[in-house]
Amino acid sequence: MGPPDSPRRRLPRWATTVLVVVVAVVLLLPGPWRQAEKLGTTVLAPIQMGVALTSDEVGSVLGALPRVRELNEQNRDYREEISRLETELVRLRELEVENNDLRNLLSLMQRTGPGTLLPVSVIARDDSPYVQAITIDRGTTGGVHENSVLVTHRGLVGKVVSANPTTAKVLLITDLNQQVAVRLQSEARTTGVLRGQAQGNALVIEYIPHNDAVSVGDVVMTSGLGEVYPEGLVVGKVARVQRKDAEPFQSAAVEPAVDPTKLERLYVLADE
Amino acid sequence: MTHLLAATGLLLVATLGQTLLAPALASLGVRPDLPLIVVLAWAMLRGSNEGAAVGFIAGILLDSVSYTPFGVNSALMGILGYCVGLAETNLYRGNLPFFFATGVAATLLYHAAMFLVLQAMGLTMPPILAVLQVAGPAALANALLIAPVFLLCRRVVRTIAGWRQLRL
Repeated sequence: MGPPDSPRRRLPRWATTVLVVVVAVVLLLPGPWRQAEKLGTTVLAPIQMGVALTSDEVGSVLGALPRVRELNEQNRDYREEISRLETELVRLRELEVENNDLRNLLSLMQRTGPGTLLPVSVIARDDSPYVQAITIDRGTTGGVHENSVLVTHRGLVGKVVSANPTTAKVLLITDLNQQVAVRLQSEARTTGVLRGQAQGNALVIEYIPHNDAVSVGDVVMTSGLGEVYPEGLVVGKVARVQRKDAEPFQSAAVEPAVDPTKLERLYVLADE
Repeated sequence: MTHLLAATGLLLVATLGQTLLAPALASLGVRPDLPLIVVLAWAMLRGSNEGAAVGFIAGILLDSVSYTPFGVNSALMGILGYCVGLAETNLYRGNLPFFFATGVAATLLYHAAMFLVLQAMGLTMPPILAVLQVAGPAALANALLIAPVFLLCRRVVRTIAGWRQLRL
């Protein structure tokens, strides 16, 4: 038989206490072991944050439960307020547009000289695909006559070709049969004849002398020749110049200032 | 007379639709001639005399809202209504392809005649290619619309006949 197993030796209780105190004291002293502190922070911080956030949220929800009805009413009030403010914003924007229009009209009236601007609306468009014409809601009894000029604050729209007592037909400047004497707002002060085109809303100035300098972006205005359109009405801007050395004249494609498909706030220039 | 009044009512609606809706449809590349469709359908239904009369009324309505010289549309549509009415008497007897063929042919004829007449009257017209670009899609659109408009016109005519029987 072998010797009996020796009993397991146990450290005295005070030894554990002493060990803990010694370790604690060592940790208090400066040294590399102080890094252990960071380890604890790194591991625990996210958990602490998560717990704190959750408890805040839970607290907030629990706190709000008794106020659900009140919050619902408040929410409805806020929605109504937002809706009201949106409506107000739309109204203010419209007023801003109208204000700008009126300013432009004032400037237009200063340019066109004496006379009044009669507000009109489009009531129909010509059904024929070969004609660019509209019907307006004012006729001879309202001061509109043949050859009256139709404008918006942006520029020239067309001229009245026939007027009844209550309505009038207007041929747009984009029509193929329309001709307007124009001048370019450039150094050369080039003049020419503006005509509508067969398709689309493009305009073309023909018979510009070959030597005149014409640039893209030049503003096109009525020249006052022809006795229908007063001088100084904006017609559009030069979009492209077509020039051939062999020909005595050049031509320029013009983008109209007024889109004939979006006519609004129209005015007829009328005598006083 | 009652028939003509009913047709005039339809034409008024068609002309209003033409002046209000056609420009919007034109931006989509399709431009049906609504009054012309009513004229063709009525002529196919009621024959050459009423076709001519309805065509003339449609033309007057169109001329009154259009820049084109007064009388051009009334003459062209009156003639078209008469011719289609004649064809109805001789050719049309429930022949479905006839609807489409009439729609296409009449529209092309109308646009071609309009082009020539306006040019003859001194108006500057776009090149013939541009006219075809307008007339082609219009012919197809009119051909597609002529059958439902024909059914509508037939219902109107039958309603009038019903009223007359009640009166008797």
